[in-house]
Amino acid sequence: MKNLSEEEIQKILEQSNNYSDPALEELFQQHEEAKIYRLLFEGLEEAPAFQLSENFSANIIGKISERRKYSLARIWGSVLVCLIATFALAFSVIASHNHPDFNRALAALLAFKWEAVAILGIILIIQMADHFLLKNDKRTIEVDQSYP
Amino acid sequence: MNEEQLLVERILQGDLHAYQHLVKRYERLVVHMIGRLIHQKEDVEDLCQDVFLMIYKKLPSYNFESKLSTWIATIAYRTAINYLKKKRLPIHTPASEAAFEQEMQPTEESPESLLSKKDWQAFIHRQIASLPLQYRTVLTLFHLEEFNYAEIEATTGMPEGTVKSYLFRARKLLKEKLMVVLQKEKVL
Repeated sequence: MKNLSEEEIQKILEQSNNYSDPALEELFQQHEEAKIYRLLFEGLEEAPAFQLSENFSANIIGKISERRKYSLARIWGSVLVCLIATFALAFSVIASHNHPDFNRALAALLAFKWEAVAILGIILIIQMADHFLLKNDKRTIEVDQSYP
Repeated sequence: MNEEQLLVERILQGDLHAYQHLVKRYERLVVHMIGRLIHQKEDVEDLCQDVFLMIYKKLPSYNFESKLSTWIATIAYRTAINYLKKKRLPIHTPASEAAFEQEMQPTEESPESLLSKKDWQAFIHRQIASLPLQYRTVLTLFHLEEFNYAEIEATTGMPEGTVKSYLFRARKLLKEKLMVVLQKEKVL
């Protein structure tokens, strides 16, 4: 076998799937450097001992679930804040102009106060149910190791 | 539609079990990338977590033009680089190779202890850890993850010629280090 450069040795080993291949024996016998490269290539293919915690994937799913929950809560919260702000603004405009309809509008609003409380209560129940279901979902994910 | 596309499709439909499956499938790739680029071991798991949260967030924009593994490796690589920049940790460039060679000359490992432990892999891993970042990146992607040159280019943004050159130089540096130890012991 002709004298090979380091680049050529690397290339040959790069293209080989099996360093024990008899076709490579001549290379290792004639080139001391090839033997070292073989040792190196074998070492490079060995996975380092970086360890992740056992529940790593379940923790990721838990975080994603939490983020989903918070974004949903943020949407509901924003809608609620916008509604309250709109009402507050409308009433303050009416009140500041001492509009004769102010008392009538206030009375109409107070007439629907229980409906408003009910809507707020429903939103609260949805939030709590969402939280409870997500907890259960997380537990299911943690035990489900056999997917798909 | 192949298996990978089906998996992504199910994740996009909100199937968290499918995403957990994806995490398990690619956690090895991500931890190798992050672990090789970041020396702060206590931060490795947190960064891996950040990578998978980012993948979940960006998955709707994944267009299947590259392999999923290449796309994931790209996110892992960028996350690691951003972390190093944020922490103002040195990102070695090939220009620092000479300094690295100087650093590499003394070794605490005696040939006897190496041979008695027969722990070449551990020795090589320690040497890889002191290589410049770009070298560690290409070695990890090529040898551990079996990426080809084009995939490494897509992941890191380094031109293919540079990838080849870095691979050659990294292996040569490691070989020289190994040779010094082996010749002392005359095991060859």
